[in-house]
Amino acid sequence: MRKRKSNEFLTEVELEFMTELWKLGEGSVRDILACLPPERKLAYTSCATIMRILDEKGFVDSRKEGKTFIYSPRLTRDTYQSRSLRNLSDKLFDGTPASLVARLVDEYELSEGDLEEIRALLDRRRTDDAT
Amino acid sequence: MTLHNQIFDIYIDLNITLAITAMVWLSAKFLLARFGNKVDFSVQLTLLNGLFALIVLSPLAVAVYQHMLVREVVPAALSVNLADYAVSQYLRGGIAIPAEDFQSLLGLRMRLSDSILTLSPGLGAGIALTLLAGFVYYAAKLGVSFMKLHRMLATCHTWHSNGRVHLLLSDHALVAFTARGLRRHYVVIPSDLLAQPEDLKLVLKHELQHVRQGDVAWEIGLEMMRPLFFWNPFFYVWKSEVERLRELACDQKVAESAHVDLRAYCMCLLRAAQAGLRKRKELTGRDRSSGIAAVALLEVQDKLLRRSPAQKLRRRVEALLVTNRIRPHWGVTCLAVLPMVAVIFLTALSIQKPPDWSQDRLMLSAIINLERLQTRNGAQEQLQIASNFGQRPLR
Repeated sequence: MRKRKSNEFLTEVELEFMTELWKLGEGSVRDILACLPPERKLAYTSCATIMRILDEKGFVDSRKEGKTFIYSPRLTRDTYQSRSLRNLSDKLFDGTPASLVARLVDEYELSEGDLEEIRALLDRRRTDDAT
Repeated sequence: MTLHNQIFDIYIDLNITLAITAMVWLSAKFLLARFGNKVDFSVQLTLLNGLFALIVLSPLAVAVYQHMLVREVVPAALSVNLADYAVSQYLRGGIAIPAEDFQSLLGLRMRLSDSILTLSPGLGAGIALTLLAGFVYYAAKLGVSFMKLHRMLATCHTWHSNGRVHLLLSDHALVAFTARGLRRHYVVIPSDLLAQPEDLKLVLKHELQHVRQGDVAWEIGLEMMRPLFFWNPFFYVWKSEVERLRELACDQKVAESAHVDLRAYCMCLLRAAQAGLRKRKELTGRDRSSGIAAVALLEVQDKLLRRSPAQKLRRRVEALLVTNRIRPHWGVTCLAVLPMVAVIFLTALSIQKPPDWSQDRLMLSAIINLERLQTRNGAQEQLQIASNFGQRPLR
């Protein structure tokens, strides 16, 4: 069995591959390659290497079907989003998520609908906490 | 002479030889540039590395030569010594200073060495402590760099292995680089480069050229010498020349390849620099060093008292645009190298302490004694004249 190398985060290319795999649920290198835009012109071997690295990092599981490896994600998109946000909050916002949200609200031109959605989310969270 | 003295003398001789050779190299470079000669970078690099090996081996060559002189295999007339030459010039009237001052000037190095080795209070102890502190600092830094490199290589993902060459992929490398262990060569590629097949091919060609040229071994050799030469400005001049030439030589080899478009290669270097700078911002301080014992595709880190990475990249692109560089015949190269080798050997030989008293040195000693006698006699005469006149002698 190949030795797993712990790495909590994905590089830009790996994230692109994981995004396609999350959409597919599971798939081979060819399946993922088919999902990528044609202008990427990636070689099959390069894709296979990226998938192998993702396997080594523990982001995907692989099983062999005939001569092909079938990959499936080991963690959900939501889990990775949470992990990345926590990392961002810890590193750039001194572990204070409120500053992160404040920056988001300042930087993005949020519509009235977006703000209403956030407000509803906070209200729901407050109600859940109270019960 | 004790063993400490001998080792310290070799150390000082090495530093002087390096300084003289660096000056000869820079003069040769200036002259070549003046006459518009564009010599092949690989030839220049081989020459520079060869000269460095000669500098390091010069104490051994000197020891062999002196042994041959003692055994009379080489005639005594072929003995070269700067101090002996200066004494003979002094006796011929070529140097117009008092004999005692001249003697003191000749013994300056020996006195300074003694005061450093005996840690005499003041200058001697100060220099000794500075040399020791510098040696320990740079040796420790070298050790830490090897460890960092080892750690970084351990976090890389193996891509391909072919014989002793291992291609690795790294998430943290700012730019591609080549490193080596005792037997294995490692080419580390930033993993994002997998998504750019054209750039990947060019970068691999460049890095594999470093492996072919043996640049990492020379880099390790130079870095291992840094604790000894850290105070010598010519060491930094030399290192900077080697770094410049090895990148230019690699660029030239890649550009000469029939399948490589020069414009595409220049653009690849530019993209690699941009990606490196972007990554440098992302990885502030963490895992971003590729270590000392490695040779990178290009620099993206600013270094103290060095040209900026942007300037270096510009020079590389400019050098790539100059085609038809001269690759001289090996015979012509040897003819050009011979005087340089002679200068290194003669420098190393001439700065040695003279083995024993020569006729000229005895003569100088006699002159000093006569001068002292004359001074004493003059003082006695003055004393007598003063007592005759019942006056106090003049001081």
